[in-house]
Amino acid sequence: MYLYNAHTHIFTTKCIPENFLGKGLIRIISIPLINKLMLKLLRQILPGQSDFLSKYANFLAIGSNKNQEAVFRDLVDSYDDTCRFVVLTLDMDHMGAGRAEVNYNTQLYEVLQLKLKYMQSLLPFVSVDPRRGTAQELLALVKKYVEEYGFVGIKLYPALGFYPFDPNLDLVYQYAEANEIPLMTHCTKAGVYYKGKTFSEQQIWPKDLDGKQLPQNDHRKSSHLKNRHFKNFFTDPDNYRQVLSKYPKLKICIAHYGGSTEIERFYGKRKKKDEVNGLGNFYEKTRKLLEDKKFPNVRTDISYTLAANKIFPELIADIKNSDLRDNILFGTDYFMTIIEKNERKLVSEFRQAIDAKDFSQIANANVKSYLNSSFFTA
Amino acid sequence: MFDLPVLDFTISIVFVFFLFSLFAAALLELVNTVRKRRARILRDALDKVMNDPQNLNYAELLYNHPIIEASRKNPESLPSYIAAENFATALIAVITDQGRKVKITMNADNSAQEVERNIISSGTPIAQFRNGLDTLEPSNFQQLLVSLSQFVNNTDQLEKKLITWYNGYMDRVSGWFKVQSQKILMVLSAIVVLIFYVDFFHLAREFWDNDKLRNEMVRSAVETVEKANRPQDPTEWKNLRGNEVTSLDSLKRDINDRYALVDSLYDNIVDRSLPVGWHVTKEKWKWKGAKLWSWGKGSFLHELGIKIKVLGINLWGVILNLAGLLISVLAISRGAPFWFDTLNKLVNLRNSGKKPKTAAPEPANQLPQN
Repeated sequence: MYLYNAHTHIFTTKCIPENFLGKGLIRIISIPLINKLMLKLLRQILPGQSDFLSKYANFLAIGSNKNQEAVFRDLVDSYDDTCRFVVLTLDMDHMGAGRAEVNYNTQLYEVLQLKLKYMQSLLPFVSVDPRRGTAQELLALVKKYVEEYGFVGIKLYPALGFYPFDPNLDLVYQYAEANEIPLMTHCTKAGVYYKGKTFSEQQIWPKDLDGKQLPQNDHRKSSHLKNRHFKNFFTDPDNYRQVLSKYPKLKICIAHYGGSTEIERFYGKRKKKDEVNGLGNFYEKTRKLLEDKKFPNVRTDISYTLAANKIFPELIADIKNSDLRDNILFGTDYFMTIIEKNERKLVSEFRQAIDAKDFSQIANANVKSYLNSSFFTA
Repeated sequence: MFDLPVLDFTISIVFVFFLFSLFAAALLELVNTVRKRRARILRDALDKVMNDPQNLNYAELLYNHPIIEASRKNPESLPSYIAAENFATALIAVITDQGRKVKITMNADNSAQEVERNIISSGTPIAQFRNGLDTLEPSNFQQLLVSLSQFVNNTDQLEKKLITWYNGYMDRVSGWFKVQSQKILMVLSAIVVLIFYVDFFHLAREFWDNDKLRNEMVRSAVETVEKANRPQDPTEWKNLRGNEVTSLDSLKRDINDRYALVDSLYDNIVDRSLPVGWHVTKEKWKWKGAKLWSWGKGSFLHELGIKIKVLGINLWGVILNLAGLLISVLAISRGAPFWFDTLNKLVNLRNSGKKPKTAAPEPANQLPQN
């Protein structure tokens, strides 16, 4: 029996646009000698307290691997079980942070070469950004990668500067729903986000899937909102209600289950914070979507969220909840989670906390049912 | 034989600049090695042409091609040199590969994914290359490849064209590398000047006034030039068994040469009391330069009535100090080969009649080197 990790990344720092971490910083960090020195120094200077910094350096070390295959090999080596990995590509060419050394087309090409090499264990998703082209062009891209190149799903990352109900995505949703192709979308208040200095008309006054102007939201116009706050408008789980109202059978995984911070806030384990843009709790919103019988194919995953041990009881309770049980997927968000703990430790701690039967449910049965489509059977 | 104080004075100054420029060049080499500048600039240069926004980053694909990958020292490092032949072969393979059709489908029983590969077995290698090229969206890089492959009949001819283009491009890249190195050398020269406090005016004054120091400098300069111009002893290039020297031997020689440089610099600064360094006293800060430029009572400038003092510091003195340092920075950044050539000519002139040799050491900033 395969174990499925439904949420991993293997792109390298070369895929990250040059201005994302500050000009030149990626290049300096990518020098193996500097990276190793950073790690050693941090361990020497702050023994015992250098955990976060040293993990951050580790994260950069993995991201700085020479190519995606090296990152993938690192991932595979973290598991003793026979495992299959959903590898999510990421189109960062339009996030307003300049050019990347390895553009999205090259990232896809490299993943395709890896797919040919690791046919059974690597299950790639093709990332779609509505700013890349017209609705027809995006559909053509998705069709090519799904039907010819064995990609098994579609990845969205709205925080990079678009709404999931962007009109350019309409044909992609139509195709995905008709063929039961799974979609994975990033949905937390954390993570990378749009870095552009200006916002487009569609970003401030968005139109829906049919191109109709949506009621104007004054919050979006607030000049005091910085990109890191504004991105929550893009990632808001309620955005998917608009998509799902048109495509109710769409198989979409609203990743991260709102995020561990939001779960802690919801259960009173963390002080509630005044929302700058008043969007509410993402965990609560995601959960409502999962419970909504009108949208039977909505899923979530526990990727990254499972790094917070203190919310294990709540996560496990939800996994045992019959209303949610079939719709929660196991994923880790490798290698983003290296900042928290290494992959082996991350998985082993969670497996120690959960029943084997429950784990099998989320890491096998649920992911298989999520991945199955007209073109792929897990 | 000329024995003019002016000539000896000039030789002394030039020799000091030669020593410090050698030191700055060694620092530059260190920076190049630590920052892997050669490897980086090579990759940047290839990215500039081959990172094609309309298509793929072919530089990335080229670097991951087994031919180029084999020249990496370790998986993370970039090669600092790619042979033109390897570049051409790998690029032809990368572009040909674009024409390969791949289709991944499920097995009939949906048990596993299968791959159908169309290897484009039909057609000559050049036809396969053109087939791959046809899949590229129009772009500058695509245009470059189209123009290079336009009138060729086979991949051998294409390889030759690619090699010619690559070598020409690498000549330009070497130029960029030198320009960049010159800027870094300027910064390193400034650091050297500040660390050793090499003030041109102070040096000039000392060499002009101190005959003993000047003679010692000239003797040292003549020895250096003669040693550099001495024909290489062929036995030096054989090890004890009479074999050709190995790279380890060459490394040892390199280390010895660098040690000799530091040793010579130390000898000249300490043993011969070279007038450099931060032995700053109040008196020295008010440097008693050539009387013409002095600001003290009774000096030329004082007589002219130029008495500029700010907060008790003689501003004119500070300006002269800064100007002396700046001249030293500019001089040292001219590079060791320039100063060696100049020194060679001056020493030969002093020895009267001896034909100057241009045995300038190779600049440490040429691409490619390793």
